[in-house]
Amino acid sequence: MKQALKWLGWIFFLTVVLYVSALFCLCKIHYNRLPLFYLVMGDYAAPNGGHTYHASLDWSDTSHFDVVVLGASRAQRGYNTAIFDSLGIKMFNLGSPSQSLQNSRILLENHIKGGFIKEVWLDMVPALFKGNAFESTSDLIQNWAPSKTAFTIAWESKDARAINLWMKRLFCSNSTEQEGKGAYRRNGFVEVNASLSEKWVKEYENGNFGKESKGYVTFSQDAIDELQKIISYCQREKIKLKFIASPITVFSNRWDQMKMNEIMEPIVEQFQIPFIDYSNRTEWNTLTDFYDEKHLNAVGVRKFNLDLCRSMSSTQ
Amino acid sequence: MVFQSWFYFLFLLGLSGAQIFLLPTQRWILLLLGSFFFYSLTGWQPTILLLFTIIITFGSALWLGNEKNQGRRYKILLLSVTAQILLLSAFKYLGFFNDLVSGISHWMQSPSWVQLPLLMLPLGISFYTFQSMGYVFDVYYNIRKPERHFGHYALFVSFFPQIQSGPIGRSKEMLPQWKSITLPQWEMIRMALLLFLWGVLKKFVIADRLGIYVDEVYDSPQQFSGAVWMLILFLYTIQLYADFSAYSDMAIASAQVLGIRIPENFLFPYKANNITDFWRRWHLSLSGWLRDYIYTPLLFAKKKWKKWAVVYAIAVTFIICGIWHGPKMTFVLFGIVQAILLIFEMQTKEWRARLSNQLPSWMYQSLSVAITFVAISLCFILFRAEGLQQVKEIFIQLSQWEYSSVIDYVREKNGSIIIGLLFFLGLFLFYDEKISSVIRNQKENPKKLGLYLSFMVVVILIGMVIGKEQFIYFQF
Repeated sequence: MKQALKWLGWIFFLTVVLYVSALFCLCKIHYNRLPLFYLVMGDYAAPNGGHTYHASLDWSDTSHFDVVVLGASRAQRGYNTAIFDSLGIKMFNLGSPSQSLQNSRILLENHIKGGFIKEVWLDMVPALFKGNAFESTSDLIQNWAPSKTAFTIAWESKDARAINLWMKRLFCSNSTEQEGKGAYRRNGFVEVNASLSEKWVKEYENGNFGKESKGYVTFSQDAIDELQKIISYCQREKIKLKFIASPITVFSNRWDQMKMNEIMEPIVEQFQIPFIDYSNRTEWNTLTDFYDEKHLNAVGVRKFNLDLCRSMSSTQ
Repeated sequence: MVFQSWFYFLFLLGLSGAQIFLLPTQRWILLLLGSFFFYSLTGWQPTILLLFTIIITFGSALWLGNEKNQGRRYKILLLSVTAQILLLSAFKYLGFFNDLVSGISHWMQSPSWVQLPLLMLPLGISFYTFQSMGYVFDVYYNIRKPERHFGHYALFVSFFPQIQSGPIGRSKEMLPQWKSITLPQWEMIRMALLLFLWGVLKKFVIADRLGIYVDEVYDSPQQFSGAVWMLILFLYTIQLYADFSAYSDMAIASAQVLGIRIPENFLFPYKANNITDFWRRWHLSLSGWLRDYIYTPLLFAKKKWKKWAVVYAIAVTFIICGIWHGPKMTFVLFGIVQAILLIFEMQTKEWRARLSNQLPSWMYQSLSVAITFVAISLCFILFRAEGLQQVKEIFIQLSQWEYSSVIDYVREKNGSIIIGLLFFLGLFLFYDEKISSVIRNQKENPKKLGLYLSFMVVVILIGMVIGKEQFIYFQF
């Protein structure tokens, strides 16, 4: 037994030394101006810097905001903080690409406190309910400036890749170089000022939409549990929570949308949380208000944000 | 429950730990309970089916053992084998039958006259059916006496490390082990750990990584030129071996921790210098099973046909091999192509021997290995393709050869594909054989062994690709 424990201890020591050394080398040796880390890790390692990094530099835990938006890329590129500011709503957009409900919850718990933030708007899309969204985990671990939050995200993802990414933070520094889709504006908002891409125009002209016979999202119980935790946290911190489903294109899968609404219905009823649903509204034109099959462009965002402000003020 | 989970690790640890408290003659009880618990996680219906197979084969072997009349013995064998094949077909081949019927009906321009309901495929059914069928054959051919201990026999069929994807165990090797199970020495556990980790590495770092590229190209076959396709075919050949041998390594290692030896399933198959040699190295437990229970009896039955008996035996054996893999025309075709290649090799044996005398041995050997690898890679199209239509599309693409496209493809993949390939080749050429020799030679220096283990853990932590939990062979 003693011999076995001694041997296991030796392996543990050796593994830690080898692991740290390997990651150090992978971060410091460059190929094609990128650390070797990216080549070895494959596609999941999001590049350093980018919009999430910018947003994390703009963010302060002690700033006061009327609204903080959480959600995936449709949130990040769908709520123009400048428009809301001009209408008297001080907003910060904490959306990030493919942000999972688990990651939204971790951001919420680590950075949003009742005394500083009045409302949280969660942008609802069916993809939020997918169990695993490593794109967002990877992005936040690498680019969200506070290391403690990044570690919490890495730890809670229970994925060795996430720990690798967190370790990489120790050896590779972030840069403020712009990367990713669109342009970073301020307070987390990313604007895409483009019209619908050629590919989607062609699809539109060919009428390739609304023909799916099934949904594609597997709605995971873990994600629903995360949503419950978000609700509980907001109740505890006395932060108002609102669910918003932003406008969608004709390409969106209606089965997934219906399934999401089915899941949301009892939650909304039980906790009396407002759910503002734009997914069934027809004023948004796929050809002019979006730049791809799911994201609003600058024109669409403006229309959506103004309408949202109007409906908020009329209900209050 | 998949091997590469914490739950499995704890389950294995718990079982091997609990064995200490039992006598060697009682340890089978724990393994049997563990095996049924393990299999019952797939559902109660598959568990009942497994139990049913165990009862049928146990009973028919006892019946065979008590019967002296050869004619009646043959009838009992036929009854038992038919029952098992019917059971297997009911779960595995109904879809194929439906497709066949609707195909014929479509051809005859008449409405389809029957559509049978499809049943869910129980995990490992092809493996445990062949394993238990092999046991009945052994009793029939008087290779062994029927097992009279139901518990021992039930464990032989349901032993959890091998039930999902083999290796297909043989009764003469497995059954005697249950009588008295000796706990493994610390050295053996260390080796098992090494083998298990090697399996994890092959699955997550090599197979799943290559699978990303393979899946992408197979999803849109027409978008890639012949040169890219050839690269992908090689990658899939490597992926399939890494994936399947990973499972086998983990199964062998799990059994070793419990003090049980299960047979090897691979012998560095891509070092084969012809297709015959390949089948002596690939999926050994299945090829051995087919050789002993299909090929050899057929050969003896038709020995008067001389050379044609071999042709006949090869053709039937490999068509069965193809069908065993699944209810798809592509698998049947895979078996037929293998049979054609083997018969071709048989016919050209003398010519190849003359050629080998004319060429330097290293050149002949290298060429043979390379040609075999290419041939196997082409055959595996039938293994991976969705259907015959896709096979046709792939061959059309293969005929449109553009060398520059493969360079563009690698560049588009940021060169990581090259790193992955080099990494794999380096590891496989050196480590697969090295690790096998280390595991067999159990006197390796513990510190050096620790270094191997740590290296593997680090490679797994850094290089793993997560996404697919299932092994490719689970579908069979």
